[in-house]
Parts: sequence; structure tokens; C-alpha cells
Amino acid sequence: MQNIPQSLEQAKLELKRVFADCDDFCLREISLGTDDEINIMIGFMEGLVNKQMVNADILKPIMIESHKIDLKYNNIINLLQKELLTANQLTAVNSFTDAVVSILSGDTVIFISGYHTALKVDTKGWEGRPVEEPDTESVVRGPREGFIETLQTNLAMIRRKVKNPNLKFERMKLGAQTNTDVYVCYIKGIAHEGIVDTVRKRLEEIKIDAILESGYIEEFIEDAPFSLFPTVGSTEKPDVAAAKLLEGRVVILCDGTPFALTVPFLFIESLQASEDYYSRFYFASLVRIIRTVALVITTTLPAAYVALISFHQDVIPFKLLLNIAASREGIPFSAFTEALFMGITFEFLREAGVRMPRPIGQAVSIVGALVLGESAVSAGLVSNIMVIVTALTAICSFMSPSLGVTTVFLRLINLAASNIMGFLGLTLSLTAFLIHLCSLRSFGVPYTAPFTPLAGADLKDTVIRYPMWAMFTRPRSITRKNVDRMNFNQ
Amino acid sequence: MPSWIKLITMALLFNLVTCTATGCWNNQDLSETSIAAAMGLDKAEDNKIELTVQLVNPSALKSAQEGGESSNKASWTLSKTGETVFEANRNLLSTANNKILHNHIQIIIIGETLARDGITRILDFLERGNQTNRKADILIAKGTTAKEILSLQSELGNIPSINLANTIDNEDSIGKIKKIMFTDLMKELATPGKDPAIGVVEIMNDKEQLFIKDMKIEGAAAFKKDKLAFWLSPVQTRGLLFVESKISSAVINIPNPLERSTKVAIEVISSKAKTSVELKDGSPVFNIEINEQGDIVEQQDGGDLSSPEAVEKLKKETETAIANEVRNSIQLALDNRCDLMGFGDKLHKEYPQYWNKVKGNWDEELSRVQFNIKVSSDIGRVGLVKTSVLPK
Repeated sequence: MQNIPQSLEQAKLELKRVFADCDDFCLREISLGTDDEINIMIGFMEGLVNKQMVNADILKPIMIESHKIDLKYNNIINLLQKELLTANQLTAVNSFTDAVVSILSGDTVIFISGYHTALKVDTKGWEGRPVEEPDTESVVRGPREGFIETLQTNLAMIRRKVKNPNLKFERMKLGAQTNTDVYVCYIKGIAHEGIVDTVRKRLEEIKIDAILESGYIEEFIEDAPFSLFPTVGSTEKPDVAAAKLLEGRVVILCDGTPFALTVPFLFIESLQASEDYYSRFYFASLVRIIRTVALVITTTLPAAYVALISFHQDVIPFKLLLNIAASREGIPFSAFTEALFMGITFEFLREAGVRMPRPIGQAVSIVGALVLGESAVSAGLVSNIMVIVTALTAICSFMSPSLGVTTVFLRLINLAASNIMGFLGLTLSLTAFLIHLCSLRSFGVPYTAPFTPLAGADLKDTVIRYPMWAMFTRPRSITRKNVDRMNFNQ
Repeated sequence: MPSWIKLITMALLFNLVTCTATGCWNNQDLSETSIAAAMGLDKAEDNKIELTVQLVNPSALKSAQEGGESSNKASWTLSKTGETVFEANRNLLSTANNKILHNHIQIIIIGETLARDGITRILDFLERGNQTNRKADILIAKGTTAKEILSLQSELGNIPSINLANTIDNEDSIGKIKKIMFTDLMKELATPGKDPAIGVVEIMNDKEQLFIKDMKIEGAAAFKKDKLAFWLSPVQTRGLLFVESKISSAVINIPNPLERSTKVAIEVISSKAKTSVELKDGSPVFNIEINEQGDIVEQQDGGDLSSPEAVEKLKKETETAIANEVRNSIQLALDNRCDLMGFGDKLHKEYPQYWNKVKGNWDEELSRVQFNIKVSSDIGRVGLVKTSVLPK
């Protein structure tokens, strides 16, 4: 570890060398006291620091206020720390590398001639997006603030929800090139220590040059990297993060992204939404049931339709069969081809809708709805019923956003299976997925908990949400500590 | 996990898979099949069997859905003969453009001549195959052929057999026809001491172009074993249905106890019958108890029928009327040596030893069978008025 050189000249040379061609790096030489005997140099990155703070809390005290103090008999470091500098966060650094990293993080570092120690002042202040309602998890009732790209703000938003010293934020720096700040958040005394340790260990083992988004971290710490199902959750909302923390989960915040990771992530969480807890339990339970049904529909409806049309015509009621037969009359493709074609078309539309500039958005909906829906039917390429099946599938796929693209894969695999073997194939592929789900674990917790293994009290927050006053335990599948939510003396 | 849980899970999974696997045949797209809505079986020359199917034409349905007038009919019939039903069925393919889907056959019509020869040999194909709709209604074409009936057009709706099936349901709900499903018919045929009765369809008008409305769909054909024996009129059919507890609703007109020249209409709301048998002096006596419930729905003349005394009288009248109807039906069956009521079956279950003795010449025994009918009637509602409005 390189020490900070005593001589200012030396330090200046070193800094110039490190920050060569970094024109946003600012270095300012000033002197302390009336007789200019103590030379001081401050370094910071332009744009990363709050200039007001640098001016008022560093430059002004050193250059002007110091005149009022007798400097003769004092240790300058002590003097600066204890009497002069009015900045609220001040740390001593001894390593030159640390000083460089601090400057790059938006701190201002003060080098003093004749000392091996420099002072690091937290002057972080850059332009950021204001706190807004996130697009991904919008609610009718509930807090509308969402995380932003600035880590400090995000931490504060969680802290504001959980005013408790047991809420721990542990900092790590990840990414050899980017030096990204990553925080591991958990509530001590609630979170399972084993899980917290595992998170720390997995984060420490990440070897990558850059962490630009929490998705980078997610891929490194997942339990089942090749599984279709996500084993790490993400949220954009501080209230969700706080709720997860209170359930004993660990939240990983990453600088530069509004998406926080939550672990362990269980399958049931893809059916839960923050609003379930803010609205009355009848409504919440109804919505949960609807979401569950929607998940089943979006994964199996096209497959079941193909199975019915191609294999089990005898199961369809006679009059419905006549309807379907009439609408399929003259369609040159098999039901499977039709379902595949429509399914893929919908994915095209969806991806185009996400990726395209907003003003062109309308064009896509017109092309999608009119050309592909209406015209395909009147051209006799697709049957009416297939359009309905696809539309229903598409609508239902938006109801469990955290599963995301998983449902698309499930749908296609089920579709293929049912085209080969009818309902038998559909059953086989669903059974295979069920077995796979049961084999998954997220940070040691079985993915399908609380259903398998059955955890009685945890079922109160699954397909039916019990009233708040009846859900008095934390999910036992995640933590065994301090499970009684109503007992405050633990 | 304990091994027994594993075992149970495996068993459940196995069940789940095998249950859903039934009916799985092969991948055959709906647009490549022709849906058969009805099937008819007749006796053809040279002791052959003529199979008629009524096929649905989806493209005509489609244009009907879109509001256009279609040049094609929504259904058409195909006939082919063969020595067996299966052969005839295969022969159909030489004319039909697609494979024929039999699973949705609503009605199976059997021609009179074939019915007189016996029906089991043609029903075997349907019972054996996995493509039979076991809930299809069976009808006997009286005085005509099934082919004739199936070629009639419907003025209501596109597909005549749907119209026909609805008519059967209507007639069944007023107790005028013996509605029997394929699976029930097979059950009755297989029961010793029970002869089946099947609903009847006949053409009543003699016109050039016939429609469904020109058909009479009522009554029943009584079978002796599997051979057609005689016909039952709608009223006689109702007598049989009373014994079988298959009356869901019926209209009984009885003389008004206050003014016997006019009528009172009783609507039967529910009727439950119980047949029991006892051996008296070595010969069986059948007791038929009918519990009937009805409402007064119409009264042709004045007079207060809502008083308890009048209601009592009405009950008596109803009981007599029903008992007479039932007696006539049973007597007719017994006279023809037909066990439509399943007396033999009853005896078989209650007194097996006795049954084993008599089953050899049960036909003869039938003519000597004694039976008692006890009807207890109840009148629930008299409607919204006490007495009719009379001109004053």
C-alpha cells in the first residue's frame, strides 16, 4: 500500500500521474493561517462534488477562519478535524490508493504538507433524477416513491421506513474497474445469520471488472443460474424493500440503479404485490386468486387449446365445438402453428413496445391490433378463437411481472408438449416443471415454500391473504428468529 | 421423506397422468375432421346394414355467423351400406372429404325394420368403439327409415339433429316420450328381467318437402329383449315413466269434483315411485307406490277448490287418474309378455332363489304376475286466485 507522501510537491506529482488526462480532476493549493507557513492541497472531481460544500465547509474555514486561531502549537490534522472544518463527515486516510478512490467517489481529499495523513471530506453531490413513481410497480394505493440511481438516497428511503438501529447497511465495493458501492441490508435479530453470511460470501466472490446494474450481481449470486425461474427478486420500491427486510430477507442495493435485489426469493413472491397489504384482505385475497388463475392461464391456455382442438375434440361441448369448427374453417395452418405464430407475434409487439421511442408507440398498437389481429382473421390466416386465446394469454402474462420471460418459455414448452401428446403431454411438461420447482432453492430456502415443505402459518400469506392482525408470524421458511410479530420484547 | 409418502405421491401422479391420457388418440386437427351430429341405422337389402350420418358443414355455419346467406346447407347426410356397421362406416370415407368425428353424435336413430330384427348386433360397434358419445339419445323411426328422418331439414337452427335433440328434451320434460341414452339402453339390455323401451319418431305429414316440424316425436317403442315388440302411445309411455320415477313434469286433467263436466288441470311437480315385491303363497306380488306432488294450474269452472275438502277430493281424483294410467300401461306390457317395468329384475334382487326357478319361463310367469298400485297425491299450491272470475 502506497503511503501518502509528506511533501506536497511529491503528492502533487503522484496525483498528476494518476489523474493524467482526467480533465475533470481539480487540484487546488492553498495555505493555512496568516503567514502562509502551512501549505495545503485539496483534490476533488468536478461534477461529483457539491461545490457549495467545498467552498463553504473546506475552503472558507481554511483560508479565512483559520486567521482567528493560533496555529503554532497545534497538530494541524487535529486542528482541522476538531476546530476548523465544518463539513459533517471527515475521515483520515493514510493510503494514497484510498485517497484516489475517495476522490473518484465524490469526496474531497485534503493533503497537508508534512503529514502522512490526508483528510477525506464527504462532499458527494451530483445531479440525479428526483424520486418518482416507478413504472414497473405502480400501485393504486400505497407509497408512490421509488428508488433512484443514487445509492445514498435509496438507503435513506429505507431507513426512513424502518427507524431502527438494528437495520444494518454493510458496504462493499465491487467491480475492479467501476468500484461500485454495493450495500447488504438486513435487520439484525430478524434476518437469518446464515443467509446474511451467504450473501456476504457470494458477493465477495464476485470477480468482474464492472457492476453497472444489480442484474450483474443477480447473475453471480443466483442459486440456479440455468433455471428458467428467478431465484433472486428485485424491487424498485422502498416500501417493498422494507417489507422484505421485516420478513427476514436480505436486500442488496447497488449504486447506479433503482433496482434493489431481495433474497431469498420464493416462487410465491411472484404472486404477491405490495398493494395486497395496503388494501383490505377480502380484496387482496380476490386479487391473489385472480393472479394465480392468470398465471395458470398464461402458461397453459394455448397448450390446452391445441390439445383440445387436435386431440380431445370429444371433451368440447357440442355447440362450442360447432362454433370453433366454424371459426377454424378454411384456416390453412394447424392449431399448433397458429398458436406459435400468434404467440411469437405478441412477443414481437411487446418487445417493440418496450424498446421504441414513446411517440411511435401508437403506430405499434395500430399495426398490432389492426393488421395482425383483424386482418389476419379476415385473410383467413388465423381463427377468431386463436386471437381470443392469444389476447387472454397476453393479458394474463402481465399479472406476474416478476416471473417475466419465464412464462413465455413455459408457454412454448407446454405448447410443444401438448402438440405431441395432447393433455398427456401438457400434464407431463407441467409435472416436469413442478418437479424442477421443488428442486430449486434460493439461499438455502426451498423455492416452493411454504407449500413444500408445508409451513402452516406461512400459508396465511399465499393465495389467500389473512387480515394483518391474524398474520402474527414472520415467514418461518425464511427466518426462525424473532418470528412473533406481535411480541415487542424479544 | 418417508417411503409411504413417496408411494402415495407416485400413485397420485400416476393417476393424474393416466386419467388425462384417456381419449388421447392422435394429433388430428379439427379442420381436418367432419363432425357427425347424428347417426342412423337401417336394414338394407341382402341383410346388409345401411349407416347414415348427418355431417356438419362448418363453412356454412361460418357464413351464417358472419350474416351472409350461405349457398351450402349447414348439414348434409351420407349413407353407405356394409355387412357390418364398421364396414359401412369405413365405406363412408369414400364419399366424405374428411375423417368423421363420431364423439359428438347427439342422436342415434334406428329404423323400424332393423329394430324388429334385434338391435344388439348393431349396438356392439358403438359400445366397443372409443368414439361413441355415450350420452346420445336413441330413437326408433316408426314406419320409416332412419335415413328418411335424418334427411329432413330444420326450419329452426342450422342443424336438424340439434333441433331434434331439443325436441326430445322438451317432450321428455312433459313426460310424453321415453328418452333413453345410449349407455342406459346398454345397461337395460344387459339386465335380466328388464326390457327396454325407446323413444319413437315418425313422420306425420305427407308432403313433398318435409321438415322437423312434420315429425311426431313422442311415445315409446317397447322391446322384447332386443327386438321391437309393440308401440306405446304418449299416455301409455307416461304410465311407464311414472313407475320408473322419470316424470319431471306432466299435465293431468281430471274432472272437477264440484262440476264434473268441466276439467281441472294438475301439473305434476314431482313424482317418486317405489316398487317392492313380496311372495304371497309362492307367487310374487308387486306393490307400486307412487308419491306424486302437483299444483292446480287451471280450473275451467267456478267453485272454490281451495278449501281442504275440495283439495281432498282433487287428490283422490288425481290418484285415481294416475293409478289408471299406470295400470293400463303395466297391463299392456304384461299382456305382450314384456317386462318394461323391470319386475324380473326386482325379483332377481329380492328373491334370487325364486328368480332362478322362474327365469326360464319368465315370459309365461309375467302374464300371471299380480300387482297393486298405490298412489298418494299431494296438492301444494292452488295458484294466485281462490276461485275463477265468473261473469256477473
